[in-house]
Amino acid sequence: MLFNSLDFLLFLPLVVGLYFGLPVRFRWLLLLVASYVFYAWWKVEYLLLIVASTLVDYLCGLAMGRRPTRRARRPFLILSLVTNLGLLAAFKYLGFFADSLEALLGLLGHPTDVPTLDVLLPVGISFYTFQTLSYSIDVYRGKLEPERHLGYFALFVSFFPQLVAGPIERAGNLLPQLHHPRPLDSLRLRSGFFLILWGFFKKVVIADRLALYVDPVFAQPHAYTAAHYWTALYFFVFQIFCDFSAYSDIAIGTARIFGIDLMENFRRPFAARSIAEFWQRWHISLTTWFRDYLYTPLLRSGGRTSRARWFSSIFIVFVLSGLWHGAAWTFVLWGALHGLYLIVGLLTRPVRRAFWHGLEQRLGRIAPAPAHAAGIPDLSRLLLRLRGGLAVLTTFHLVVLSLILFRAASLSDAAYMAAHLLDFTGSPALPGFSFADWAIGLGSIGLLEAVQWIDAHVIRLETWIETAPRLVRWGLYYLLMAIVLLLGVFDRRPFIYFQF
Amino acid sequence: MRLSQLVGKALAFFLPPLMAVELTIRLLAPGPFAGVRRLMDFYEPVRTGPAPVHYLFIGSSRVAAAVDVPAFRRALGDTVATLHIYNLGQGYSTLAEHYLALRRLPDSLLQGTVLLVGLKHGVPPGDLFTDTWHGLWADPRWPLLLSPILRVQDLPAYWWRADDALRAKLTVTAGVFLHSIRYGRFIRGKVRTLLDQLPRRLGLRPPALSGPSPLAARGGIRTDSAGIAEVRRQILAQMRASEALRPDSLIPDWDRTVFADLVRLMQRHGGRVVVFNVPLTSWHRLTDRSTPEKMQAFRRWARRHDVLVLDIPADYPDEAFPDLVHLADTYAPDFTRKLAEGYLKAHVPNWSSR
Repeated sequence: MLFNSLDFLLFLPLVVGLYFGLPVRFRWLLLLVASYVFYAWWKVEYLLLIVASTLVDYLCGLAMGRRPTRRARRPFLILSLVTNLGLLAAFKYLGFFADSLEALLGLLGHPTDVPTLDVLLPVGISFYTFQTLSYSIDVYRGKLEPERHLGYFALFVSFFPQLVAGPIERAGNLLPQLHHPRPLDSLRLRSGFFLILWGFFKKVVIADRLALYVDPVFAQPHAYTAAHYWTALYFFVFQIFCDFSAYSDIAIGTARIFGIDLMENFRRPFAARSIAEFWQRWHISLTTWFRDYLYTPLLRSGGRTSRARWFSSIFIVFVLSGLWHGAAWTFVLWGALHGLYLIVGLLTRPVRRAFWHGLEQRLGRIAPAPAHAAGIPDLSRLLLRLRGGLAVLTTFHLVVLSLILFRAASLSDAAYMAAHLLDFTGSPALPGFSFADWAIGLGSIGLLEAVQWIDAHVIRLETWIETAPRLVRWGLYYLLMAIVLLLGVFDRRPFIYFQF
Repeated sequence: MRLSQLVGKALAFFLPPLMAVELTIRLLAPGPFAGVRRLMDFYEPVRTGPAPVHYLFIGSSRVAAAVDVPAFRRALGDTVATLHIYNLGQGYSTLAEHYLALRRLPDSLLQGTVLLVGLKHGVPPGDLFTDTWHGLWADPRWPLLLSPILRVQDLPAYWWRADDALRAKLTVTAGVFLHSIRYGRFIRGKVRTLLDQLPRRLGLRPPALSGPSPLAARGGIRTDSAGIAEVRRQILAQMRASEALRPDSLIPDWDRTVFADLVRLMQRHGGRVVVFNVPLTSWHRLTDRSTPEKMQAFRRWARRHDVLVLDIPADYPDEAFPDLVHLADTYAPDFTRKLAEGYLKAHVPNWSSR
């Protein structure tokens, strides 16, 4: 079931009504049934995958909980890993590996038809497998007591608001909340509803509007020029942010109505001053997953941490993160590029610091203290701001450029676009993308940035909305609803991250 | 907070603006929404027009595009417009919708009416059986067309019997009661048009466009590879949609189809049903065919039930279909003339010698 569908708009109030109408002891059951219905809306058969993953991890968790040492728990961890990664490999990566093997054998002069499964990618498989894996690993590490109630565990795996596109929750955060449901709370309802509306705004007004420009350009890059490429890239960076963060907002808002707090998944990523910071602000639940379950073990394995091990760990994590996003070489290279960004950033950090420090000292000699006395901001502060601004701009553009690989349909398309990025001819105006589209697209990006700035620097909107007077609150809700209904694009375009 | 309080608050939040919008639209319906209302309630011109209706064309948007009423009138020799002729071809309409709408017309309008039904390859879809009314009542691409046609008392049958998706049923039902649902997409279109007109109103020059043009309903055909790929994509999507609407299998009993009911309805009023083929592109002529057995079975049934089936020569070049679906305006009079002649030849004895 898509969040941006009539089905969901009817499903949600129904489930909310039933949830709070039921005695507390049955609420988990209702949420579990609702979650399975929500998932089965796409394809009933794929419920079997979730159920299989749930049962295996539940039993492995119980078995690990009964064994005191890591050594004794290890076989069950391996079973959990093999099952979940096996599901991922079979349903997501088999075709990719088979195609790559075929291409390789063809290049070596041994063309072979490698058999593969011709199945549709189950929606959200990368998300729920990672969520259950985190549970198994935490139980293995002894950080978490295994969940003994199969129903609650099944609900942890399949909790519908975050089932298909995250945030990838940790059992330590979600399970206790499922065990102890909160009562219906008007404050939570207010901020939850606001987040849902804000998510709809980002999805149908911004992301799906910008997609009208981005999709044709990336579908046929040869038919367009550099002006289109740049516009499409700038639009795509906002499209993917709005698309994905909208899903997170709606998921967090929906869960909040049920009294459950999900983790934050985005924190103004375009304000990042480095690629490392970008990843601390973008898809936080995935980044922290990779940090806790892959990067840290890689770094700590084998004793002393050398610089080579550090960098290779970063690189491996980002390549795998790219592969997680999609079974295609474009995604692998996109991940590798981000790994390289990070490594080059770390390598050049001393040089950059020295440069700015030197510049500050040199300017300090040219224009010493009196400027400050005249009420003009201190030169070093100005320099700091300039440095920060440049860092934000550079990081943003590094991200934008990497998206060529992320969004291009093939490596050859990506190469063609990259090679022609500087061939400026014509205007970015696109037939079929009218003035209204430009006005709505750019205007809503402006509104988004303004709201995010206010949220970060003036007042936290989620908290403000909880205590704002009803007239203001409802006015804001009506305004958002009117914008969504009048300016949204309603072609039931799925969320981009569903494919991952 | 209790659940009852939540329900109360939800009602207090949603109902007043919904009622305000609904009231505004209903008040404005005769004015700004008049055009939209005609589009949605496409039988209105007939319902409010003079009786009896002499010739009524029904079918899809292909009929709307291919039939030129003045040309038909000329071919019939009706120089002073004494005949009441309507072209009610409508995009995304179904035969069920036409039947339900005709059934609601006053008897006086349908006295002796010739109903000309434009169909692909001259064969009606057999997806709806009127003894059970199972099947699709509305086209999933625009279910709201059914809303002005359905009466409130039809709703239980629609929910119980129609195979329309739950989403379509909800939309149609909401559309029966709420004009804001019916006209929602047009209001959004109006906002968009207003925004698009803004630069012109401000005296700004539109920027030069570059890149391939999108397909236009009227205009040139794209021949670039992107255009062809896009057209193929659209056609395949259409074919899949039409497959969903009309699984092309042999019809076990033509008497039970909605088309048979349509024939009986017209004949009860002393009228006649004429079926004609709509012009198709070479692609559709080749790929979107009914089986010969089905076509023969239908023709045998048509002969038995006094339904005239016309084979109008309509081998127009693909350039005559600007969007690869609808016949261009410039070709419509020619097709209509052929249609009128075909009808007169078959219907009026010794017409060709006159």
